[in-house]
Amino acid sequence: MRKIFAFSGILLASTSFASDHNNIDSGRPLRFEDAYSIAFREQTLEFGYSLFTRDTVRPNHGFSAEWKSGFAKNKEFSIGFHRFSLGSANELESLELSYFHGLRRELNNLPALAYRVEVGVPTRSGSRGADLLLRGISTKSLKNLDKVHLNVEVEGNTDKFSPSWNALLGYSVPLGYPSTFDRTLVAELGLLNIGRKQSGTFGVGLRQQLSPYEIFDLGATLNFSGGATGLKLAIGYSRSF
Amino acid sequence: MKLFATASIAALAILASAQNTKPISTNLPEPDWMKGLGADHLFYKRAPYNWAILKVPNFAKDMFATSVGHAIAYEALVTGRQNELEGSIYNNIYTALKNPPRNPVDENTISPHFHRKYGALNKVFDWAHTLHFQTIDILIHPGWTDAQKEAEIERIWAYYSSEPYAITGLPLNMEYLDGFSYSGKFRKAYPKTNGLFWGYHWLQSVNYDMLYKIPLKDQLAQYNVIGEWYHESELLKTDRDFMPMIGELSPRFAKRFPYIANSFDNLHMLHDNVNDILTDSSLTEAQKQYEVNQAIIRVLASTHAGESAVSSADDKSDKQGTLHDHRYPFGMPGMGMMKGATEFEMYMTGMGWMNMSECSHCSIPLNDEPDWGASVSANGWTMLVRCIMCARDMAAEIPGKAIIRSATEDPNRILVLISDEEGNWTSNIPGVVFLEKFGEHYTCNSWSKAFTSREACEKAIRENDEFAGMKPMELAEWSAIHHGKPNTYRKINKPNPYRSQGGSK
Repeated sequence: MRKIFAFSGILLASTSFASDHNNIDSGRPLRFEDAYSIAFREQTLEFGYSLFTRDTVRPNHGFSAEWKSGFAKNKEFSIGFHRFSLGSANELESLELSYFHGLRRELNNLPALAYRVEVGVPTRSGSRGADLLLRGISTKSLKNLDKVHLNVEVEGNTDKFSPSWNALLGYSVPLGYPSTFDRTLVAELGLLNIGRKQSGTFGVGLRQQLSPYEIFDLGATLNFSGGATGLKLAIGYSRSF
Repeated sequence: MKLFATASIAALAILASAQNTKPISTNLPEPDWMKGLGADHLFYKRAPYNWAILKVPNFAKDMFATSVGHAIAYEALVTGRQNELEGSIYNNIYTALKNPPRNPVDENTISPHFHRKYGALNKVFDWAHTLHFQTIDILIHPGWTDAQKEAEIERIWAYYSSEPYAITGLPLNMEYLDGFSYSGKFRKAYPKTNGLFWGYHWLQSVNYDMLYKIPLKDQLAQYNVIGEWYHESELLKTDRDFMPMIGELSPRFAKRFPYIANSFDNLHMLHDNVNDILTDSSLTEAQKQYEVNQAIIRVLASTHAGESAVSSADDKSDKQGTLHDHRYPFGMPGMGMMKGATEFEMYMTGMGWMNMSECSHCSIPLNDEPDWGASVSANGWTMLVRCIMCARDMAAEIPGKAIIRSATEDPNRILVLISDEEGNWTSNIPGVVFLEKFGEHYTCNSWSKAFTSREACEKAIRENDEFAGMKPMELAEWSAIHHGKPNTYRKINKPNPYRSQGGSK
């Protein structure tokens, strides 16, 4: 479990998505998210598969599945299951519960604001403690159709609570204007575990609308830490109903 | 700040009064939800029919593209690019309409600055557009009977109405709503772009009779013609007198579900109001925000709670010509009173003055449902007629393709006839036969009939003395007959109310 926490910058897949390629969801395919919840009464299922390298010859991989419910206006609740292979005998599983609250939409020149609380509970014997994450989210439109998204996170583990801070700056722009409107390019720059064993991330990805209720996503994230570079490739599928 | 706003509104009211228009502001109190900070996105009602529109693919794509036009224009109007509205922005909108997207478009994606300023309006639009799409999905859904679909439409209306953003299903006086000092500014300043908007409002209005009580394969066949009309003609019209109304283009649906027809007309008028307010250069930004909010409140269901619709022939109230005027033209509960309309008559672009309770071909009063006769769609309009003969003869007078939808002896099967440019008809019912014994039009609905089969027709002849001696006619024989304009037809000769005071409105 501690390894999940340590590698959370490239592993965790989670959170908010609506049936719209331009509603950016954490983990689908990058880590940052925008400040908008899924719609009231909407439910979504998300599936993701990640392949990543980090100082190993053999790539590791992970799978995640998540159900989300827009149980109230601007609020969502989700349950996710994550399984990661970090080597031949080192498999990790966790169950994740998450709550999202959109506080404000963009109003004139004020950015949209939201927060998310996540609890990750290990489901394999031998793991200890629960992972906790609190994320503050801000979204603001730029001059054209593009937007920036600031995510600031504090995370820790109940077994040995020693919170660390992360900051991510995301960027999104819908592609194909004005004839097609079904694709959004996303990118992010991030600093993880700030002030400690600090690492940086850079990712790019694409969210493609497949149908009115389905999204496919694809992304690549580089993680720089102590002279080592890790690469994460992620693909995902989301469906609302 | 409040004092400034009040003073500004008062000054504008005086100015409007001097120009012989109504005061600019209705000064209605804002409901609490309009002050809310949340995005409040709402999901559509979960149901098996969701996205059935994709089964009519070209129609679906054209409908998805309609989200583009207003969003692009609104974004231009709030970002200071209105000078491009008849140039590059028109081209962008037209490109999207001619090459429609495969998937629905989130308007927020392409008009982020507009949504930042007018978030409450976005909620009203989004929720009404959801109703638009779900009623279409229900009507297309192939898995249900007509009775199931009608019951679900009632439920979807209740679902829609449960939110505070719902637009009233009462008929509103369109002359009143379009009579503010800013009214008409957008269509005058940007006639080409406004033509596109009204063109796709035409599509959003005409589709309901194409779908209502008609199976999927016949919906597909009709859209081959309607889609052609839409792209080749309706999108490009710049000479409409007024926005297309649901009751004009889908009269059967509007009679059956008047509250939905009214809500869509009120929605489209809200679009026009917003276009006009954003175009009015005499208004400050604060005044525009105020006027947009007033335009929203005017059409909200909550503003008209406890009120009811009344036929213009029965109205005894003192509300005529006001916001709370809920009269509808006699015979058409799914439409508010139009400019210059009287108890029984209203002006329709392309048709002139009409009495919506009469057959458009023979001027004899229409029969009430379920024996609803037939309708004719041609040249951009859809009109109700008393019988299949009136439909055929009326269509023959109009150049170009036409669609007839007619009752048959089977209440569950609608006859759909589609003609080509030369007047050759194809039928959705291969064995269709007709009875016709030309006589007085006062009884035409009893001696002009369509049957789903020869057997059904012969059975009717055996069982009804009034058909004695009549012979079933195949489509080819029947369609070659033409009786011309009946002597009962009454042309209403009155001037166009939209142009009678000097030029187009």
